[in-house]
Amino acid sequence: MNDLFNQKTRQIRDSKIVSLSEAIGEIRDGDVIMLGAFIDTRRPMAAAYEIVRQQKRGLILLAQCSLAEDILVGAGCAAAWRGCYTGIATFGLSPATLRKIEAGQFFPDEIGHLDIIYGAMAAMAGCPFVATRATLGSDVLNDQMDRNQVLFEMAGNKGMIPRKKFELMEDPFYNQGMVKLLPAMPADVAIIHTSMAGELGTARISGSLAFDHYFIHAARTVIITTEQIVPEEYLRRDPNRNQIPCTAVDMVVEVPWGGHPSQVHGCYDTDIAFIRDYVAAARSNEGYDEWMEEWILGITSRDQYLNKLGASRLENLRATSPWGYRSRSSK
Amino acid sequence: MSKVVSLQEAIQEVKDGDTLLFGGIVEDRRPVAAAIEIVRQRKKNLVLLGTCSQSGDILVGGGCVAAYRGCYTSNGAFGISPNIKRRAESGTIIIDDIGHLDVSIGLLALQAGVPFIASKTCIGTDILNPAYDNLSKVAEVAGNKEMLPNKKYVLMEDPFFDMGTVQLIPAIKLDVCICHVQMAGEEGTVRIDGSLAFDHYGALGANKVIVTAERIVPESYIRQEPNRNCIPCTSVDMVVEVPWGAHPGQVYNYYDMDIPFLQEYANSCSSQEGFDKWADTWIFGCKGHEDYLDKLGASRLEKLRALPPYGYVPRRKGGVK
Repeated sequence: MNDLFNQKTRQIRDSKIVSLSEAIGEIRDGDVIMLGAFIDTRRPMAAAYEIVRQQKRGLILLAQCSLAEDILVGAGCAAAWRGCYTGIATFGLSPATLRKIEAGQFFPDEIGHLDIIYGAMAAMAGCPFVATRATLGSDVLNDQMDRNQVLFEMAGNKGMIPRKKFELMEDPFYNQGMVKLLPAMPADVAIIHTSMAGELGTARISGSLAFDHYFIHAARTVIITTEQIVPEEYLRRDPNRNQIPCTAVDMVVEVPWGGHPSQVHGCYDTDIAFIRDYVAAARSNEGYDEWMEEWILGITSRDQYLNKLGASRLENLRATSPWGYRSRSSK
Repeated sequence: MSKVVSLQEAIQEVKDGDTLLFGGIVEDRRPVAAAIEIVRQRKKNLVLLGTCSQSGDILVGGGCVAAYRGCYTSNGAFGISPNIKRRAESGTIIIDDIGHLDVSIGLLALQAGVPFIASKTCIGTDILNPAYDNLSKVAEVAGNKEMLPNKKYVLMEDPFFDMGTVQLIPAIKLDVCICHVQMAGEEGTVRIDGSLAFDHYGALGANKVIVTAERIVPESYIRQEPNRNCIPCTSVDMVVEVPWGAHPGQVYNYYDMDIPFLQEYANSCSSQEGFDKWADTWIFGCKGHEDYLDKLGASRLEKLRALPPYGYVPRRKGGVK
């Protein structure tokens, strides 16, 4: 019997604070990983850079293939992906991902948008599958586009990948007709960036949760990067504001501006120029490699990254209350 | 657009034969005032879902419930819910037992809009024993048959993760969900302190959602901190301001349990006559919720008021002895 969904026990007595390099050091080649939030909002960008720096290989990405993921694909860290959405919103389709797919170096196994949420929800609840009508009648169910076997072969931990992508059956309960059995979508590692976290792992998100409140319960190892580590006692004064319990967290890393260039609600807005430059560079191998050299490999510390961006650039991104982002009228 | 109505108007929207979920859990944040109004309006043939304590048990005592599908029939420290216990023993209520996690997963399926979810929760238990499968009897009395699944469960082999035999758990569908919360905006945005129980699942999936709140506040105020709000106004149909609306239960940050009241209820309801006498005092003998509060008395209520930062009434209080 698969013990995949058996939650591992986590201690909640001692500090879980580690450095970014220690946390990312826990990721193994071939791991199935989920990066928190979505598109250009509250992405764990500093964590993504560190994954590139540590030259992880063969990673399988889940959910979306957007800004943070595209950087991993461009660097050759990611081998395959199961998810939906290969874009960076207004910045266009994920450039490195497109290139690598067309060159046959990166393998997508596409599912529906709702499949992401349902898959994470099922893994969270310890359930092997859910039934849904989502994606019926679409090419998600097309055999010729089914790469489940590719994911299975590439995954380090075979138990993470279901034996098949889906099954069809008649709904025996509510006369819905044909439904798809969608397998759970567990992960080896989930990395979530938050605005605040405590030393034991309690964490607080401002703004949209995206899927993070499901992801943290769907993954074996959970890494929280956070703008600031604050006393647990402070966070626990308002428990309803904490969406991530310390019992779901393995490691906590303080990384101010750890979401840059994505936006972090309540902290800072999107660095549009930075993303635009990245997207332009990542359209070609050479362009991507130059960008990676300039912003990841050639940078030896977070301090250097921040100084390179410059304090005034960062200040101009800082959020304003009550909006939580930087409104045009603030200038 | 304001959704604020009176308790009487809100409960008029509950129809005979409806499948119903009460928010909260055990003695925490149960919509007791709403339950009392349901009995006062003499609703019939309701199908009670999820758990049966406090508010649910009052409905059963009042003769409003024909059937119950749930997993937990207790009033916590105050014993098994007396009215449903009596009726179960005398066979005057249809009961279909499901597992604790079946309730969680069934409501998870409801809010996700999926017909069923697979799990191993009840494998090896009598929940799956056909001799105790009373789903068809529950479906017979339900007003809207489509609210009940065709079958209690289906067993199949997990085709994905080698988990062996799994149980397909159907979604728990709701005509009505009634929640009592600490704060709500006039358009229905809801803020709950403490445990959410299943309120957010029920509210996101039920056809009709009634929220009773300790306090109704301006939407503009409640929206200043969106991350503190757990049910969006788009999921709520009616909002009613009912201070002490969960008495004698607890509402975190507002008031603690009224232990003598709970004990008196438990003692009264060992017989139907006992419940009827209790109801004469606390339901039919009160014109409405304000009458109920006057009858309890302001000084009794004051002693229940929660103390920050505990959110309940600690034994040692620094104030007046």
